[in-house]
This record gives sequence, C-alpha cells and structure tokens, in this order.
Amino acid sequence: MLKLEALRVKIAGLEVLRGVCFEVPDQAVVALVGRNGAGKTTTLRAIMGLVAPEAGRILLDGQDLAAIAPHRRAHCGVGYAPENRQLVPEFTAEDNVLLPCLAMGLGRQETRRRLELVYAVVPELAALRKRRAAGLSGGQGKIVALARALAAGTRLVLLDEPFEGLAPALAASYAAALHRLRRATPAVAMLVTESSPALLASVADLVLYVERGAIGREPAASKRS
Amino acid sequence: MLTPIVIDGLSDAALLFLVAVGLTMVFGVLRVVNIAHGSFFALGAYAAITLGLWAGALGLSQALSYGALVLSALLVAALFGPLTERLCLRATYGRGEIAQMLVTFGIFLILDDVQKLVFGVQERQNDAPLSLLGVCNLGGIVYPVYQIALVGLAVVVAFSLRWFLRGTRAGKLVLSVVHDAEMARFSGIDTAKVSVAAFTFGVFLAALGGSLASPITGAAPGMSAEATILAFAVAAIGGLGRVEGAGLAALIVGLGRAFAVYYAPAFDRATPYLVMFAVLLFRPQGLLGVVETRRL
Amino acid sequence: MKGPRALLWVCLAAAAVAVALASPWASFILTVALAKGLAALGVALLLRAGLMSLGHALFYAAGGYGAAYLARWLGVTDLLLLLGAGFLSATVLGLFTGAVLVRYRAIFFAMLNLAASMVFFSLVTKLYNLTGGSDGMPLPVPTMFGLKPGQGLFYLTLACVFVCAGGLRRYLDSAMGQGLGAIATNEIRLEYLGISVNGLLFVNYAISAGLGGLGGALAAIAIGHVTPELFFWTTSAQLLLGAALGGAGSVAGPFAGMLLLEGVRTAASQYAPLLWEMAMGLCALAVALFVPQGLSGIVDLPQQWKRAVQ
Repeated sequence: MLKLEALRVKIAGLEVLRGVCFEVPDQAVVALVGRNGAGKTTTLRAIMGLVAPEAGRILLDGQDLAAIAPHRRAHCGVGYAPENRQLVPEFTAEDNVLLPCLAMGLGRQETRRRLELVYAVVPELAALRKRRAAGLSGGQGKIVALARALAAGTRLVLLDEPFEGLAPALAASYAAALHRLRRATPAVAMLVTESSPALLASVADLVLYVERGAIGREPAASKRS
Repeated sequence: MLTPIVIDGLSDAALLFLVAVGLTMVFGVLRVVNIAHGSFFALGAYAAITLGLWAGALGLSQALSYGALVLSALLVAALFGPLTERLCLRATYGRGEIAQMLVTFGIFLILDDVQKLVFGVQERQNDAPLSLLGVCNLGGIVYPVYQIALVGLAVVVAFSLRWFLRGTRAGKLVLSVVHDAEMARFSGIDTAKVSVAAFTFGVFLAALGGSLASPITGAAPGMSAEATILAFAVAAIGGLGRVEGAGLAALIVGLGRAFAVYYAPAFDRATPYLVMFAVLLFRPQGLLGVVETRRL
Repeated sequence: MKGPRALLWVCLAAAAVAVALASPWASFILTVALAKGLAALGVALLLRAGLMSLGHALFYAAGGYGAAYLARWLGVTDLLLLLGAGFLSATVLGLFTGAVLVRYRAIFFAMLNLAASMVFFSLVTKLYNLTGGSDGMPLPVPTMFGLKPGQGLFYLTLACVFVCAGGLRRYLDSAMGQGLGAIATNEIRLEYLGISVNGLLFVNYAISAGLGGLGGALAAIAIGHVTPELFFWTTSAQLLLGAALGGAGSVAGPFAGMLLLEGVRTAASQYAPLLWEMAMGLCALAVALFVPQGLSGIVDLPQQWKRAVQ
C-alpha cells in the first residue's frame, strides 16, 4: 500500500528524518511509536506533502507521490488527522468533516455515502454535528479531525497522536472508533503515531519504533498474530 | 443637529467600507498587505466614469450608467487580478512582509502612471447616476438619493460577501484557506487556484468600491494613495482579514469623522488615523481580529 | 578588509564631488539623494532588527519642519543651527514614539508607525495657521558662519553621510548592533540571556529617527520648502524602497539605493515626465522578485549562481 524508501527531510537546516524506510502493507494498521521529536509527525507530514523531502521516495501503491501535488493526495484517498486538529473554527463540526468532500467536488450521493460511513464509525459525531468547531473541547476536536480524515481516506488514513491529551473516556471511544473502522472498511490501511505503544496494542498489526529520525530496533518490532 | 451628522456618518461609513472590504479579504486569504489596493479602487472609479460617459455620448439610456458601475469593476478585475497574482504576488508568498510591500508598492507606482497615461491628469466626473435618482429631504437637509442608496449598497455588499463566504462552496473553500492554508491543502483544496481567484475577487471588490463611489467622489490623480491609506486604516481597526470588522470600523470612523466635521473640523482628516493608532495600541490585532497562534 | 572598503568610500566621495563640481544642478540632485539616503539608512537600521516601518516619513518630515520652524519663529538662517533643529526635533519625536511603539512587532509595528505619521500628515494639512497647511512653509537660503554657501550644503551633506555611515558601522559592529540581528532571528533567546530587547530596540528606534530628521532637514534646506506631503505614507514607502533597493545588509546600501532611485526619477522626469513613477515601480518589482538582498546583495550574486550551478 504505502512504502517509504530512505526518506530524508530537513527542517530549518536540521535533519529530522534520516533515511526512514518502512512499509504499510495492504489493509494493515501500522503504529509508529517514538518519543517527542523522534520524527513521527514529520513522517506523516512528508506523506501528505506538507514538507518536501531532501531525498528518498514515498510510494502509494507503486506510484511516486513526488509527482502528485500535495492537494491532490486527498483525491488519491489519503486522509490525515493532524495532532493539533486544525479545524475551521467558524464551521460546524459536520462542515469540517465535509470539507474534503467539498474540496474534491464529490457528488451528492458519494458525499452522503461517505458521511453515513463516518457517522457509523464515529457515532460521537452525531451529538456535535451542528456545533461550531470553535466551541469544541480539544478531545471533541480530535474526534472531528478523525472523522474528517475518514471522509477523505478511502485507501489510507494517517492519524497523528490521536490519544494525546484525550480524557480516558474519550480515548476509549476513540479506540472503539478505530475498531469499528477496521470492521466497516477493512480495505483502508492506517498509519497511526503514538508516544506509547500500549494505547495502540489492540488495534495495530505492526508496531514500528522511530528514534532520531529513523526506524530503530526493527528486529524487535512485534508482529501481532 | 444629530440627524444630519448620523446621515453624513453613515454615508461616509458606506464609502469607507467599500474602500476597505477588498483589502481585508485579500489579506485574509493571501496574508498579503496589498498597497496597490487603492490603485484598483481608482481604476474602478475611472473605468466606471469613462464607460458611463461613453454610454451617454452614444446616446444610450442613462440608466446604463448603473450597469457600467458593475461592468467596470468586472473589467478591472479580469484585466489586473490574475495577472498581478500570477506574475508578482505568487513569488512573495512566505517571504515576509518586506518583499510583499515592495511588490505591491511597485504595482501601485506602475498603476499610478498607467492611470495618468490612460485617463489623463484632469479630474473626471460622471454624475448621471447621481442626477438620475434625484434628491430627497431628510430632516430638513437635501441629500442626493444615490448617497443614501450607497448605504444600502454597502450593506448589500457586506451581506452578499457574508453569504458568499458562509453559504457557497467557493466561499467555504476560501474561508478554509483563510483559516489554515496547510489544512486546506491536505483536505484537497488547490490553494494556488483559490489564491488567484480570491485575489481577483479582491480586485473586483476594490474596483467595485471605486466605481460605486465614483458618482460622488469623481476620480483624480492621488485617489489611489488616499484610498490605500484609508483602506489600511479601516481594515487595521477592524482586524485585518475580518469582513465584519471592516464594517464595524467603517461605522466608527465614518461617524467619528462626521462628528469631527461638526465639532472639531481641524481633526476630521486625522480621525481615521487617531482611531487606528488608539485601537492598535491596545488591540494590535484590531477590534474583531483574532490573535494568531503560530505553529512552529 | 578595512583598506579596500575605505578606498571604495574615498572613490565614491571623489566621484560625487566631481559630479557636483560639474554642475550646480547635479550637486542639488546629489544633495537631495544623499539626504534621503540618510533617512533610508534609518529605515535600514530598523530592518536589521526585523522591523518594517511604514511611517518613517514622520521623522523625515519632522526634520524638515523642525528646521523650517526655527527659521520662521526665530529668524535663524545658520545652516548648522537649522540642521541641529531638524535633527533634534526628529530625535525627540522618536524618543516619544519609540517608547510606545517598540513593544510591537511585524505588521502591527508597521501599521502603528503608519498611523502615527498619518495623524501628523492630517493635522499638518489642516492646522493652517500653525503649519501653513497644504502650502507648507518656506526655508530661508541658509548661511554658514555668516557666509552664504554656494555648494557648501552639498559638502556638508557629504560630511554628514560620512560621519553617520562611519558611526553606524561602529554601532553595528558593537555588541548592541550585533544584538539587533539577533532580535530579528531569535528574540526569545536574547531575552533568556537577560538582554532587554525593547531597550535595544528603543535606542535603535531613536537613532533611526535622528537619521531621518537629519536627512529631512538637509533635503528641506536644499529644496527650500516643506509641505505636508513629506509626512504622507508614500514618502515612507519610498524610504523603505530605497533601503530595500540598496540592501539593509550594509551601511552603504541605502545610499546606493536612494542614489539609484533619485537617478531614475531625474532621468525619467527629464525624458518621460509621466513615467517616473512607473520606472520606480519597476525598480521595486525587480528588486523584490529578483534581487531580494538589494544592490549590496548583487555583489554576492555571482557567488550564489556559482553555488546554484554546483
């Protein structure tokens, strides 16, 4: 599905990723675990085209993403939920979720189909639907950002530190949503970052450890049966 | 005594809003402080007057003058919007205020001479739109109906813009670029396309302001510089990028100026800048501006 | 390093003197250009600290009006006294405005300076009895130690340029001057070091205001007249353009920028009077789009190209 080959990224002259190599197999959920500053977020941002790689390749089903403009990546079925949510405060929660559909100019039927799927996977969204994003709590915002990523991500969903700062109850419902997503659309692959592997243990097929801008302790990466 | 002041203030506020609204929208979307804004305002005024006079000279119905007001704004926007954004502004995105200010000041200077070459240095005026509507008597003072109608027009522009930004697909895309260009990009929005469209729309708003104001103000050299600085003042007071803010600021400055004319005439010209200074001192982000949290 | 640079300055001065001797008209143009260069140097000084002022005309104009008032109220015609009055009035104004404005950054700093200068512009235009309104005020033909200087003003301007450029070079090389660059790159780190950033900026603001006043007074004396237009935002924008054109990186940059701008303006008004603004506009576009480091950055361009090729 997704393959990163010797990816190098510099930010303000500092080498943040130094040859990241890994693969997200078809239909798999991969957890990217590492401490703050290890390069998890930058990896996801590079996949979305928000930072330009110095060297290396990112392949989506064999196609080099370098040839695809950043805004076209959503059109390729890649959804992204950044750690800091990045919602439009003036929009309602639902309008935020619908933004990728609107941006891609999806037809009414396709939009409704995706929205139904999102509501099925993230039922918590129903209660927030008409609320403006400006009035949401941080945790609620994360739920909305997840829903938005699902609206775009028909092939691959990237989630950046989804559990960071979530209250235990919300974290549990977030994890439940990931499980429901697995069941509802098994074809969608996921790449999820987190600073502690425990939170993702029940969802992830594969756990990778990032350390100082590279995949470390690869042999130790645990494969779940 | 109060009635004429309020009426003067409101009609002044309408003009000020029309001057500033395009500037504030362009800043919101592109984060560019467009010094050339006043040039587009002036070009709109010149184009409207010229088109209106042509229509008159050709013996066409005088009512066409009103059509000319909108048509001229469309023409100016189509002519200058995409060209300016693609050729000049695009290279400055993300390069900081100094490069932007140089580029837009350069465009301002160039367009100033373009105006003189095309329209001459004489003051120009077409009062057909003014005289067609006649006058009305409000509280014992005679006003041209057009001047009163302009208040309504400004409100219409304000609400249409609000509807456009909140209620239409294009508007929502623009708003999301305004709020967070990066998020817009990963949500699938071609931000480059939105930028050129939004800048062109901003030029249209600037030119429309100029053309709607032209029956009252006429057009003359120096108009661009005056419009730019007033737009800056109004937009900064309201909060750069905030359309509602521009409306509020225009009301404050317009009414303030009207009161100054009656009670402290020496200060009428300084009013917008005194308000601007005072507001920015205590609220640098403007009255309705939001403090931006920058990601690192 | 020091030798060639000094030689360059001497050559420039010699060239300027030669041109000025050739015709009084040229010496007038040069005087005005160098005077504006002093003000642009003040703008460049702010740019060094990462601050863009859209209202520096305030000090440029204050210099001119300060000199004009001394002549009007006290009948003074002595060149040095007029100059001193211009310099002082701008500096005092700079101390007051600076005390308030150095707390602000980026676009807010630019806008507040703009507002301040426009308040003055509007008031000076309106308060006819006090300021001569939009007609402005005349300045007398200056005298120097009782003598009527012919080209004296030009040489005095040249002297001011050298003194200011030299002094500023020292200031920028000092710890304080180095601090300015640090403010532009990382202000917070400077605060951690226990350095008062606003204090540094305040001193810098006052110096830049003084330079603006000196330039304004020299130009006003040369032209023999001051008008409210001096306060207008387009004057500020031109000073900023001159500074950016020359490049804020070196002390000579703003002078080079202003000489070029005034040269373009003079040439254009000679041959195509309706096109001088357009010529200046094209200069601005060219610099912003192709030579972001300004004229003093052009010197480095071949190296950059070489690097780009490699």
